[in-house]
Amino acid sequence: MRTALFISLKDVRRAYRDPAGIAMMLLAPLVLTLLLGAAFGGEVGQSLTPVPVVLVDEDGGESARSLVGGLEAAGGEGLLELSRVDTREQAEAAIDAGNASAAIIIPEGFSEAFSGGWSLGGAGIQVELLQDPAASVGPRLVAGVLRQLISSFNGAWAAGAAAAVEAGAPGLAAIPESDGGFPAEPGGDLAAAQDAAEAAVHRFRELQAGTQPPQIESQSPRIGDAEATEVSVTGAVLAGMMIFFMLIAGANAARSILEEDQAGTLARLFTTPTSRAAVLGGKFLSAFLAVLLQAVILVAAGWLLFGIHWGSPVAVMLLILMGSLVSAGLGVMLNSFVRTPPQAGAIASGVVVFLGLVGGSFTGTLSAGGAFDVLRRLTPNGWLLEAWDLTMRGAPLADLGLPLLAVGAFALLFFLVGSWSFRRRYA
Amino acid sequence: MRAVIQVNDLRKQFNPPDGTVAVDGVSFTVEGGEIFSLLGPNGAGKTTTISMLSCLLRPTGGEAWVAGSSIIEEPRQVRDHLGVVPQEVALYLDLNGRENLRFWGRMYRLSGDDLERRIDEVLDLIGLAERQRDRVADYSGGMKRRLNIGVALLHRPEVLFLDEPTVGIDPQSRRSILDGIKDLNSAGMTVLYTTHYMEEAQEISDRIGIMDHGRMVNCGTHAELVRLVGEETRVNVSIDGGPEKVAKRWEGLAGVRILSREGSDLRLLVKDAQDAIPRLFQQAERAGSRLTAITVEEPDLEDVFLHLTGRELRD
Ligand SMILES: Nc1ncnc2c1ncn2[C@@H]1O[C@H](COP(=O)(O)OP(=O)(O)OP(=O)(O)O)[C@@H](O)[C@H]1O
Ligand SMILES: [Mg+2]
Repeated sequence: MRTALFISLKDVRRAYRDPAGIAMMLLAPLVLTLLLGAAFGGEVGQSLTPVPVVLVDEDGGESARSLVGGLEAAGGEGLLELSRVDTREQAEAAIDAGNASAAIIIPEGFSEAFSGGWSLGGAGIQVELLQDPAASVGPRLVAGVLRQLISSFNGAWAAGAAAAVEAGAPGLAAIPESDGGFPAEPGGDLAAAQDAAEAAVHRFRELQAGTQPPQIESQSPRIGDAEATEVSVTGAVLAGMMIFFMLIAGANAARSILEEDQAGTLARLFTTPTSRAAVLGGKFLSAFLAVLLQAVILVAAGWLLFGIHWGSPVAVMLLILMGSLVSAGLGVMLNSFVRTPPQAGAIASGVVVFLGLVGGSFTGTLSAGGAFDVLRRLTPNGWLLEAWDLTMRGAPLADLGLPLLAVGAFALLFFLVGSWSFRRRYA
Repeated sequence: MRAVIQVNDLRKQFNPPDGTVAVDGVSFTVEGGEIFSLLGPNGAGKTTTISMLSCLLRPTGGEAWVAGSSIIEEPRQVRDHLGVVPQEVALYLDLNGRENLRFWGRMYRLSGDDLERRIDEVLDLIGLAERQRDRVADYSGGMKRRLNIGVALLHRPEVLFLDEPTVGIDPQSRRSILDGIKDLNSAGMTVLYTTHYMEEAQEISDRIGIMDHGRMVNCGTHAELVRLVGEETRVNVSIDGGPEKVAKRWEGLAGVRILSREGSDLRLLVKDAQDAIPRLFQQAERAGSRLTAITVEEPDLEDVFLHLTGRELRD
């Protein structure tokens, strides 16, 4: 056991002494996160096509028309692609058919609420936002525009007072108004709404310029949660990148078995009193430790450099541990099937990129929960992504049970297959 | 003295049933404190034999004991007493010399102060103390080879296997390696050495096993082996003009054997040189040629190999 540890420490030291290895393990995910974070959060007009949104105006009153005008102004800026339908059912159908990624429903009584003064505050008039769960950033962008518009209707509304809360049911998300009372001032006119829309656009442009860390707010899955936790785009993207590059690093680290085989040091190890089980155990451990160190550094870097709130420390530790286990297991297994390091490199990057695509690693946790759920759950990284998303949203530890169990099962499977295959080769 | 290495009819066939038979029934013994060399050309089966004896390859037949333990039944005990210097340098090039020694020392169950002290000793022994903090990748070929040997000495093994440890290095490094091995041997270490340089085998070995095509062709001390060639002397001659004709005439002479011819240089084995050499001159003269140089030597292992296999040891 001690010798296994020495083998792995030696490997980790070698891995972190290799500049190409460092670039792959640490720099690539961070740089990609920076780039993608900017793309998701910043380059709204260019790198994101306008979000298709359907609008249902059940109210038809003055204030509703102002709101619609504001939304149309946002559409004119290329943020939204607005189309109108008559009923909520039609809106839902449009989302189901994939023609729209969000629907905004202005309920009856909206205008009245705005003219009605303070007392109506508790009545819970709400503009609803229905969203396509498979879509990633679109609905959040719409939510941002919408919130900006509504809050501009009266300055007394804090931005957070219009917190949009996603409904628990998949495909449905609603934004209820806050409990805070409506002021006496009636809703603004069309011009004011357009100003508001412009302000929203301006805000996105600012993000693009990078003056603030790009942030799009996302909401707690539980309705009525006053402390809706925010998941920053950067966090979501980095989580995806981190998981992907952990898988890559696991495969790279485990490849040292084949490299040592070629260099003759593996045979030499087998001439020492160190048992073959200890050698293979040491190799698994080195892959695990290399990835573990990588994940710890990335999580710390995400926190320190990007200000990401990863969530509860216990959950984060569990996720790092399980992520490292499954990455090491996959790495050992993939390398056990091939003969030479170049073969291993090719196979591993192919498999990991495929897993990354299916498991949603490239879109980050922004797309967690949705139509890809079934496919995604066939991959360990899909489950990990889901778990990271939950953690960043502040979900209780118990909610992580299933994803972590699934990840653990993958890790065990990979490890068993990998060690069986290696034992057959070297025993 | 007891036999520290006992090899009985060892066989190895790769990829049976049709694969190469790399070792084909080899037997020999090495007594404690001996240096025993396996001498043979490329592909003779030296490395395969050593690999089986160091429990890396499973024999397809036969049995062997190293330091009193069976290589098949008790590989773990064998490894405890064994240092193996592989033919190819097997080190971590991206670690420095000391780090390599420390890692391998741990693989031999050394630790703490004991390990660090031993590393210092070995570094002195292989003359790398001053370069211990340099990456092995930056070492010269000879330095790598020396470190490759040092790794196998850390745990003070009772038996040391060295597989062609001097291939492709400068004369000084080779010298220091050979001297080092002799020193270790004087201190009581039993050494199994492989080489295809007959000078090396001749210099360091107590006994030599000549291998060819997976078989042990013969085995004994240098003197014993040389005696196999008989009471012959080796004669090297250079001929001026028509070496073929001369060779043809010489072939007819009793007690003269032509070993090889390269251009106008011939190597002969000659019985009763005093009598034969004048006849060689005579025949050359009759063929209209002249001998421009002639040397007379005792036969060496090269001649023995040729005598036994009909082929040259050199590739
Ligand atoms: N892993 C292997 N698979 C198949 N054949 C092998 C293998 N290793 C060695 N051989 C064959 O076995 C024979 C003996 O090889 P071996 O390496 O033992 O020779 P050697 O005496 O050490 O030669 P050299 O002086 O070139 O090192 C050769 O024909 C070689 O091709
Ligand atoms: Mg060899």
